[in-house]
Amino acid sequence: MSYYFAVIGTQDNPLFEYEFGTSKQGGDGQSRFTEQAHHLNQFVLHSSLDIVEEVQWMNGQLYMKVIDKFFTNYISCFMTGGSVKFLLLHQPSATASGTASATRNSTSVGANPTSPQTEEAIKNFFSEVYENYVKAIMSPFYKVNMEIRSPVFRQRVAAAGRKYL
Amino acid sequence: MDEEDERGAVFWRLERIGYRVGQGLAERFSRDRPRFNDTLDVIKFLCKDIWTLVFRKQVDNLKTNHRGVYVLTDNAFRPFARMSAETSSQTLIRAQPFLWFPCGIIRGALAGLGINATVHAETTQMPTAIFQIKTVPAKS
Amino acid sequence: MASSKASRLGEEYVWRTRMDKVNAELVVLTYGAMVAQLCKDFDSDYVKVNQQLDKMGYNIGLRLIEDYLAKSNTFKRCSNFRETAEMIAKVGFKIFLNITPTITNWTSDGKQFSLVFDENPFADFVELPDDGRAQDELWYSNILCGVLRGALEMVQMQVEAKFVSDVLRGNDTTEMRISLIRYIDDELPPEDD
Repeated sequence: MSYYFAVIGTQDNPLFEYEFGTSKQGGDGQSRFTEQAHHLNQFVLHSSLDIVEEVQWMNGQLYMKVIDKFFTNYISCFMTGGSVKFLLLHQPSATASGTASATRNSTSVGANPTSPQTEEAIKNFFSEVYENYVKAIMSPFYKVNMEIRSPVFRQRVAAAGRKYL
Repeated sequence: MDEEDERGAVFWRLERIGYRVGQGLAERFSRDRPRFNDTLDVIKFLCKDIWTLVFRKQVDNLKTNHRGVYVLTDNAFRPFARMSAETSSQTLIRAQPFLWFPCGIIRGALAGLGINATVHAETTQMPTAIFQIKTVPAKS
Repeated sequence: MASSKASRLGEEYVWRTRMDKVNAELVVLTYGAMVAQLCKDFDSDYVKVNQQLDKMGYNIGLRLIEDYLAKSNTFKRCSNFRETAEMIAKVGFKIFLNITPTITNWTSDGKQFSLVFDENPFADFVELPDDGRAQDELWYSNILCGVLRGALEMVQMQVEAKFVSDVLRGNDTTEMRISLIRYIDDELPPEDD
């Protein structure tokens, strides 16, 4: 299971990105995206922004669950009170390749991207990131819609990833 | 720098600092509530939650023309609570600068919640403060 | 003796008045926005920003002392500098910021001590600019030094107050060093600056 997480500003500008792998079921926390996917991920995420625009009015929730799917990439979304978007692309490891890690993953949180367990895990991840995002933007030297360069924030996103995903 | 310029400079600084504060407050305190449905929803959040945070009371009266203008009246504006000067006209002039930081907070909080607006404040009778918000249509 | 009395005074005040509390985030944001604005004004010349914060604090201190004297119910002069330190930490900081810094590192002549801040209500969430200089040059909470300097001057003590470490800079503690220069005998009016 590999994850690509991004924070998108109100002008659809990227503020932060972080790539990681599952830490559940013995995962080592490293992402397993292919070289190609690295580049594709950004594109896939951004192309789902239009869908966010539509979905956000459907319910009053900050967490919008899986809003888009592109082949084996699933996109979950969360929107802050200030209309900043958190997007998480999750990609279950390719089962066809049959590697050791892939078989382990079949029982992991992310194996079924739309299961209630996965939705809940991602919700928890987003909530913790949100908590820390608010702290990061409360710092007086941070300007709204500016890239988040805080190493503390990065560490905390990583920690949230390890904890829930 | 003549007095008028100086007043202007003070206005911009206080307004800008307030703006940053408003942005932060909006993001921080919209966290624990459902998403806003419309502009009026946001204005109500401002009149109740944000006002209470900053001034420990709610706005007393909210009026709107339903075309993007909102008028907030606080009949006992906290910063004015202990103010007096020799004459009432003098008091009004000297009280003015205390409206500028709150103007910034309002504009910043609204901007943080996706609403661009201009904010003007005035007081004609202490300790009442009146804030007029004109929203600027989003350029989506 | 002096120590427990000071603690009691501070606690008593907080209890008696149900203290008008200001929202913590509002304090952090407002102070922070002001410091950030100063950094911009002085083009990130942090030495100047420190000076300006100290000066603003000084002007606050000159007037805050009255409020302190009224609120703390202390009519008696401190008998020595050690007692002054107790009152600053356990009454002054308690009343205005609801914190009690630790008094430590006295010099043997009793003229210098440190206040160590376990918590600092101005600095929650703050991360200094990562321009490679702020971490070495900016004393983010420097306004507090000025406040003490101004307030003590009004009660006939000339002191020097400065930060020597700050957790925001990556130090283990936040420590302010206060040195008594002299007691002011003749009652000169404070300089206007």
